[in-house]
Amino acid sequence: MRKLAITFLFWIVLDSCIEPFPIVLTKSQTQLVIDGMISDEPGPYEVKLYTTKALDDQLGAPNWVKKADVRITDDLGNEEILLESSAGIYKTKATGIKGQVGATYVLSVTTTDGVSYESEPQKILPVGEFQDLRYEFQQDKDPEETDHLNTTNGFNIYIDAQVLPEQGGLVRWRTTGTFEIKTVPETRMILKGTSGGGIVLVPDPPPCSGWKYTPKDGLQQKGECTCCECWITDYSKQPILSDAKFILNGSISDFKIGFIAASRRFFNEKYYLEVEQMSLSQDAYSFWSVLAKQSQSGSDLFQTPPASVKGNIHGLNGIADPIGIFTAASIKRKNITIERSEVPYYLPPIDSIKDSCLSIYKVSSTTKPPFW
Amino acid sequence: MKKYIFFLAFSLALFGHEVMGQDILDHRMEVNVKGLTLSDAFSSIERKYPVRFYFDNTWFENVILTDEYSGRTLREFLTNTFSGSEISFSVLYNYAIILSKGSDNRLQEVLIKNNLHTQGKSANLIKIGERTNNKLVDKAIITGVITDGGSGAGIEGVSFSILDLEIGTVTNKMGNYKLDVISGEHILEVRSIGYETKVIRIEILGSATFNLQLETASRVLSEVVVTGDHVNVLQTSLGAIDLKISDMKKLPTFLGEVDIIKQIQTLAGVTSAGDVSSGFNVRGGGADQNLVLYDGVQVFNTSHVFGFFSAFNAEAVKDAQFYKAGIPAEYGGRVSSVLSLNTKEASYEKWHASGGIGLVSSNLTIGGPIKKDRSTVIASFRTSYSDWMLKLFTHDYPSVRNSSVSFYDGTVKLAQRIGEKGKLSLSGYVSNDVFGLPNDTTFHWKNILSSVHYDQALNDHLLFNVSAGYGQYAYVVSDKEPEFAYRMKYRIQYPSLNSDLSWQKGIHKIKVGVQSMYYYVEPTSLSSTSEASSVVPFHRSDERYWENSLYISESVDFTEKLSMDLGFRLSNFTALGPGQVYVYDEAKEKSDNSIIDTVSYGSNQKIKNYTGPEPRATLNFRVTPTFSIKGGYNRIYQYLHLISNSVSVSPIDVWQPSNRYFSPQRGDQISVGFFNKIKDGAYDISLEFYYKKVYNILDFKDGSELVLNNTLEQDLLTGKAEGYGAEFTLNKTKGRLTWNFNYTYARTFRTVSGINDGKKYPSSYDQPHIVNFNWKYGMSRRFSFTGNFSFRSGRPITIPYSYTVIDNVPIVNYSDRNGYRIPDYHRLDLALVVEGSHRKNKIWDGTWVFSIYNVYGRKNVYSVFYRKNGNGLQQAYSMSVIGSVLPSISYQFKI
Repeated sequence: MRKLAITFLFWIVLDSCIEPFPIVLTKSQTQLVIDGMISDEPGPYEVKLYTTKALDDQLGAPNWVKKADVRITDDLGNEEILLESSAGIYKTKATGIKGQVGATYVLSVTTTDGVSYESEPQKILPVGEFQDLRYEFQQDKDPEETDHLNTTNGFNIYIDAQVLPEQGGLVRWRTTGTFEIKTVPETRMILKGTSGGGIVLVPDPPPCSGWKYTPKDGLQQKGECTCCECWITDYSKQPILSDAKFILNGSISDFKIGFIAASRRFFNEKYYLEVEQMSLSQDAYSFWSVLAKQSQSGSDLFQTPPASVKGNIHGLNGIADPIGIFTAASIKRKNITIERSEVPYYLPPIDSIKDSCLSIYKVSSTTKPPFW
Repeated sequence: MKKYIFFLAFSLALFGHEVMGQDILDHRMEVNVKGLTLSDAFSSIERKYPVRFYFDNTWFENVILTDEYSGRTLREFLTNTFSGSEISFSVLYNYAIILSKGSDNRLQEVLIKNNLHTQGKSANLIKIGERTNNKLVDKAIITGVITDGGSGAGIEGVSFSILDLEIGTVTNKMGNYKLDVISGEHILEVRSIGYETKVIRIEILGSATFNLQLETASRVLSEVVVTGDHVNVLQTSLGAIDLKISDMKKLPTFLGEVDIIKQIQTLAGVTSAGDVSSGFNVRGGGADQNLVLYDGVQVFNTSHVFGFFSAFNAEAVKDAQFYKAGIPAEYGGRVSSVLSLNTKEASYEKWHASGGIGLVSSNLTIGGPIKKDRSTVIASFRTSYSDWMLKLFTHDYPSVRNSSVSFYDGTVKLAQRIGEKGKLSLSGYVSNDVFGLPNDTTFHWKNILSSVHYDQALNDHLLFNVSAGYGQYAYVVSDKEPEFAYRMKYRIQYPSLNSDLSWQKGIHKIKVGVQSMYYYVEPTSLSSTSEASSVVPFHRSDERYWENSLYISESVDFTEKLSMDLGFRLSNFTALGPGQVYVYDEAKEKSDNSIIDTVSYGSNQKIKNYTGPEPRATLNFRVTPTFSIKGGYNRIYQYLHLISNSVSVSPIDVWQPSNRYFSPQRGDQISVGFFNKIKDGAYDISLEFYYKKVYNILDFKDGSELVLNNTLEQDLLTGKAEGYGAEFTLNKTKGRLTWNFNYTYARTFRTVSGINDGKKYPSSYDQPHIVNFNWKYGMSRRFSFTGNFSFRSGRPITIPYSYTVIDNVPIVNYSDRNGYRIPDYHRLDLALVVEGSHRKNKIWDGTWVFSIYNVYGRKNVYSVFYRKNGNGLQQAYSMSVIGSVLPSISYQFKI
């Protein structure tokens, strides 16, 4: 009886049923996504059009929306039609429209099926001085106890900035990190089968490694490796927004905007970080703050039913709104480089990554960036 | 008057009948009764011979005749059938065979059911009063008190009717009644839920006092069933259901726990969010819109273990009134419904004990006289024993062993009679819950309620009541892990003072009262409890509120067919200082960025005041004695808002009183209903319609944080809600198989500027189709088979349904608020009830209940949420609270 009671209780209290909930998207439920921006920096400016995907289809390439009519107009009487530079990516000409503080811009999009969308007019607000960008090492765990990959030791990134009264306290910081990795693609193996209870692996070097494997000749180098050294671009995956509580007398100081783990991959040589400080409209700020909360929210029985993300772009003639944001911002940038030697303890060399350096991270390039 | 003469003539005719013919019991039976139930056998005998049986069908609804009596006399049949049982029989007027149960009470021998009235035949005549003149017919006033035969306490709400005149009254709180009647012979029916109905032939000679005792209709342990006397043709009230806790104990249970709230969820127009929900939604209202009173003091959290069980021990509850419409003026503060639970009072005669043992908890109730006939005490206690069981687990299951679930609740009630017509009662209640997770997080919540009531009948017409109450609801969530150690607290305390005066004379019944309640709120605060803790403390100043109300209600019986209840309530609510209020730039959206000023208020300074007039009205038109049409309207103001992100009541809910930014909710409801009893009362049928509108409801903004929020006005939006529906109920109340069926079609929507672009959207508890069916089948005297089936349309939810990336930031895209529905909810429960023998005068009476909850193991989805799956990608998951068949066993006893 006792045992029975315990079993019952835990059926309920701890072992309640959690199962994947299949949500099948019908065509009508996919939504257009518009990601566009204009700033007071020189063009070309970019607008991307694609559609939402089912939750369980997150890894594939975006479903680009092609051949749309995309234009940006301003309150000075200028209008520019953006050209599709590659599928779904529309750009202004380098010599075309130029964003100006105080001017107001509207993005309009008409897709091939004749449906039109238009953004709320977005005024470029001025942005305050970007006074300082700095880092500070934070040692959370004994270096002996970490694998130096996903470590909680690392650099906290702080900024000091001026916030102008016209900005209404609305600032976003966007970070772009760059680091270099080196890999050993010729050591890549593939499972061939099983034999005598064990598994049989054979070399499987990608062609870019310069190596080739045949069962007859074994592994042989045929040429130069073109995918052993990559520069990885690491974007901030969470929106970083100003918080009114930190703004004092028109400036925000010692505001933490990020953290870079003291990982042996990030610090194979050095880590380069660029931070853009952008002024935002109230619409854009609300959009990003909903996303910021979404990325922080937990999931339990008493969770707030979540936000539905809406931007500042609307469907015309009764068409449902797309998910989209058209940002018009004034931008100030700063960058820092953190050297490997600034990790205050011995950092082992990069782990051996047995694949093409292009296939490990989402945004990677074998071209050395100009600032490197 | 016409009727009266007709009745007299009929009686005389009967009298003549008595002198003729052979003794009815000597008739030889030519009917085959073998295999029939007793009631069926009686029916077939009645068809064949000039004989009528008078009995209460419930005495032997399960008895099947096994012998053949063809050719034998009626006397032999009856003698054999009832020998050795509690039933005895007697014959009156040579046609009426009156069966009675027990023999202590002579009155019971003339206990004849309603049909006596329709046939105009009766037994012993009870004379009331003295004849004062020689008029054949004169006016008389009879008064008296109807008491509980066991405890001697007055019974409230007893229907006292003169059937042939179609007039009646209802007893007041002290059990007193008063009725203007014409002299002469009448048929009196006295009935109350939970008691055996008495039908008595009376002859009123003049004004007099006539007191009566009613016996509890407790054949077994049963004390309260939530079938409810739903189809009450006589009472004016509409949408009111008197709940009795009898056969409820025979219905299938969830883990053997008899649960009042779960039974309420099976009534027409009532639904709930899912398996984990001791809260309930009435006619499209939120779970916070129900006023739950326990001996008159409101209860904020009605559940144990996050809603798995109700916080009330069914053993401690005497009866309950539930109103979903036509809410009397004496109740206010919640816009949807009122559930008023009254605790048991002990017997003034002798000591009793009862209890139950289940898989999760056990309970014990002991009560009796402190001083016979003057004062009594009763105490009920229920506790879970799961916690110490968990500790028995060895190291094999550390996560289980390190968890803890435990709860208890207790009720004490003292009653003291003062003089002949006064009564003082004290009642106390406490409930406590602790829920610990293996990761050192502990949830702890409790309710404390206490009240003192004093009732005094000032004269035959006037009843005075005064009461003082204190309530408290508090929770603490804490974590002991040094790095995150914290303690999160919330508490609301609410002392109250109420007084009312009832006056009854002729066709009028008037009640006036005042109520005053003070709320002291300690909003959710967070403190870190270790030096290493990274938790940032959060504190918000305490808040004070004062709610005062004044009400008057009047019931008038205009004619025999038409009666009306009218009420008016005036409520007033004040947010008091000290406190600070932020002033926002009205041109901008409320946010920290748009605060332009802060206003400070001193101690007891008025921050904001609201006043609400609340008219109430109900009309009852009795087309025939069994069919009535009722209509009503009520307006109610609700000053407390539940700030919750879940659809049901959860232990960590925040109650936010109205203030500068949150206006009180205002609910208006109109409803109309048709009530009928058919087939001689064997079936109750009703159809009700309603429309309601609630203003100033609060809903949260997209992605808002509701806990630990100093500026809730920035995260909550105000809007309106509307609901409409039709409720159909059909109950079979007699026979071996009794059942209740109801179907509800109901819709409820909200319109909030800022949610779904200001368009109308379904509320979280919009469940258009609801079907409930429960039955009880008596297989034999001791065995019965009961069951319950529920179906509810899937609840609307907001789901994550697509994914995208903007500017490298991943976005899980959600549907519109409540844009999807979870799959429909349905569940079947069965139970086998084995009762003790029905021998009378036994000391120990026990009942076993074997239940199976969720018989076909349906995984009813409770909620849908997202989290990162094994690949680090967002994925939607559904959670079913109960994912399997749950058998259970429980034992109840009574001494």
